[in-house]
Amino acid sequence: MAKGENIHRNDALPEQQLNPSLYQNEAYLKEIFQNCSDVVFRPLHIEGRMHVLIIYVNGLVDTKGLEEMLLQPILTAWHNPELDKLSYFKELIAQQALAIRQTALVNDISQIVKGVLNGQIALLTEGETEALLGNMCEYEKRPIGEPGTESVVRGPREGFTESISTNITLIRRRMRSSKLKFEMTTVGEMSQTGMSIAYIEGIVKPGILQEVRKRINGIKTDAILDSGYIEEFIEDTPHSPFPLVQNTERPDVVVASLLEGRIAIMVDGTPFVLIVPMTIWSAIHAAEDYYEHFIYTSGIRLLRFILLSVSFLLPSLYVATSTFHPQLIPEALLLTIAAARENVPFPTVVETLLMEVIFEALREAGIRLPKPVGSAVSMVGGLVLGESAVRAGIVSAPTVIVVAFTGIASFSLPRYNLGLAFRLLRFPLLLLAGSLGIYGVGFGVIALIIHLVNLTSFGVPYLAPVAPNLSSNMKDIFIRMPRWTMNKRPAFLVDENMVRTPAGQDPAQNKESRK
Amino acid sequence: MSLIKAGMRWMILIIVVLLLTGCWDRRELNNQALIFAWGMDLKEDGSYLATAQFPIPRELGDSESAARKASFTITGSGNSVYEAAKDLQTKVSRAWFAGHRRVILIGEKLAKKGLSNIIDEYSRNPIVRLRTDILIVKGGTAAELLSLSYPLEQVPANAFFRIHEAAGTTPDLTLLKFLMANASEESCPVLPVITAQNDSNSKLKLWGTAVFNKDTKLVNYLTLKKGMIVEWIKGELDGTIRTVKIPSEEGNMVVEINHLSTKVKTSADENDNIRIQVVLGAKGVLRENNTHLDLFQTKNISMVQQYMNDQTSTEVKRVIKEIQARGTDILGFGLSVHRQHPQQWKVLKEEWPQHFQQAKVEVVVKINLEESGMTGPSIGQKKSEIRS
Repeated sequence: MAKGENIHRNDALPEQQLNPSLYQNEAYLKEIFQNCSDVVFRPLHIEGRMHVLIIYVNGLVDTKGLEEMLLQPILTAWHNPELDKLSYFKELIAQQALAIRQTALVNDISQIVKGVLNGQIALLTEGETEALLGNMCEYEKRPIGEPGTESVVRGPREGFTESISTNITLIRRRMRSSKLKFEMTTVGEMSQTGMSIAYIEGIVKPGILQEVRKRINGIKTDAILDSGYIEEFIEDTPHSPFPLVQNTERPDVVVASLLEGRIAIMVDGTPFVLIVPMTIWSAIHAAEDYYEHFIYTSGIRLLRFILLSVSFLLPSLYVATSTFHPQLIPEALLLTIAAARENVPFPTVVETLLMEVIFEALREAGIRLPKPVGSAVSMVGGLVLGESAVRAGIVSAPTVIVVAFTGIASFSLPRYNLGLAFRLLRFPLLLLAGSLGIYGVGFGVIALIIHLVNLTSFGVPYLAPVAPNLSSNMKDIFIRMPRWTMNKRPAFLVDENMVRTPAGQDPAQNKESRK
Repeated sequence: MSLIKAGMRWMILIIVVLLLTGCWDRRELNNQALIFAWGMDLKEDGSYLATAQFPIPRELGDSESAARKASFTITGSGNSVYEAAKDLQTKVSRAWFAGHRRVILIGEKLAKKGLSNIIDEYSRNPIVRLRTDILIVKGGTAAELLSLSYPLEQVPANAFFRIHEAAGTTPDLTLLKFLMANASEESCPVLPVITAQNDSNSKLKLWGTAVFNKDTKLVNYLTLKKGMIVEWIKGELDGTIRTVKIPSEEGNMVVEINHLSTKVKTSADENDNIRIQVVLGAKGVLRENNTHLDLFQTKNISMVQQYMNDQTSTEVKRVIKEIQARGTDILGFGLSVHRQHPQQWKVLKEEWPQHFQQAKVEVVVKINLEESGMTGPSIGQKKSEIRS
């Protein structure tokens, strides 16, 4: 590491052995935790002399349990001559094994500090050079609720919470197999954020898993507050506007991805779990696609692809055709557009850009504002701006319709982050359309496709299995085939244990054979 | 860092390339005058007169102003098509745009002089769309017709196209078919004919077909009825009606025919005598019976069918004779000879108009009367008068 780039760490404490004198230890620890008002020092004085000192962080520890399971037994046994001995407490805790989950004996003050900050209680006694760390971690959590970003009509409604242990439970409950592994690690030199890499042994490609471990262990930063921090550190092509790491709030999506040979990265403190490797198709598919009937789903997917192109291309095509190639518009429509444009002072490209910016502003304002104010914004935006701008002749009605339809279409993508990419790329494409016409639009689309085929996520091509083409994996891309025909895992993600569903489960065929 | 720098460099490069050319052929819709119909006439002094009909978008968009005139016409003159068009531009406040011109009218005088000059421009200019309807104005000029208003259409230009469309043909293909026939070595081109009439409401009438020779000069007109027979022989007609006269009766019968089919068999002997057999087939549905015949009787049906076939073949023969007399092969016989006798065609093509005139044409009409409707005898007749 270069000079001057050292980050502040809390394990920078020098190793310091415990002193037999409890008073000296207390003084030393109080100096470390100076002004940390949430750290509680609880000395137990017996016959006017301090025998025991308990240290914990208020709010991280189950205080009620501490009271019942530890303090009361100690106080009732105050006359016990062995009260000075740690072994006594160890036994005591062993009896209360249900309340205190893990214990450890340490003799290093820096380890005590680390343990206390992780939600453990430290128990120090007079005359001992070791301290007892007990895990009584318990803190306020948000209850499990419906995921806000990926709601479904049909399907499980549980979403992840900010607590990683709850999230792991949610996954484990759906996957009771010893092959499902959670590798715990911590990132963030100061935040010491807990992280877990989840995968299914025997399905995941060891090469990809190794790459994930390598990239995560390479992260050196002070704090991780959201999985978005991790995402930026481990992407293959950080300068691409396209998301190369998928995120989800849904445990069922995570389990389904694990079964396809993907790897989930869970971060403590955020409900968003990362899934790698990602392909562009997983951003177009919704969880519900797998719970609803396959014919309906296939239709919806085709609609989504149409709306995706609309959200990306419609404003540019409108500008290109109406200003460069009017012969491509049918006469009746052309006359309507021409009539609407008659008094508009701006060129079509400026007009469309203007409306797009207004629309994006409305959208952004709607997200950030509190809900009651948000509806006022949409009222002002929709009615006042749209209606009166047309009436005043500043923009033409067809432009408003085009921009509004584009906006609606861009909401139809199940994953927000891919929608963001297309939302952003619409603007350069609009400028190309306004300067070069359809030629410019074609130019932009070709550039986009070149960019997309060059992207990889952890070595897996972003457009797989369409480019490179793996026709056997196309059953779940543009349409969704019935479950009994999709009997293998994706070949671009998995090498072994390919079969998911044995063949011959077509209900129609089975009906024949039963006769 | 370097990636961002490289990206910036590319961005600047692209922007500079786009801006430095200085050409921006962007043209807003409200800076263009859309031409919906175009007319070409020959003036007394031999120069061309071009007429363009423009819709007025402002009047079209507003529903309140629907009563007002939504289009206007402007003329320009010059010694060539393009010169006349450029002269026209000097009288229009916006650059005109012909990409949506669906109708071209051509005055009779110009058609008689020959269309080769204007056809060249129309096939050369990329902005002219191939799916254009070209109509000949019988006994008048295109400029006159374009200045008429038509009550049903806001832009009168649409009237020409839609009248033609309603007659059961595909007006989109008129220019294309004309160009193809003109370029072929066998056929002569035809164009539809429209004419002005003195009716207070509809001042337009689709009149028939104009026949051109290989020099694209107007030779003669065929009425709509004759034009339909020509189309039937060419295999381009979907359906029509036939009126059948029954000699023993006073009234007549009207049969609607569809599923039309055509077979042309040709033969040529050593002396280049050409024999052509035309077999026309159709299915007929009886629509009107003004006679005393009871059509529940099979013999009456076959009698009607017999008369219909005879009368139709006589009429077809007459039309073919009339066309043969002019030597303009608009029936596609040359094409059939070429296809069926490719070796002899090499000789025949040199003198094809003469061969076409002298060809012996045999016509067989096979219309199958398949339906006689819901009643046998005509319901308007007295019982006693009905003959079985």
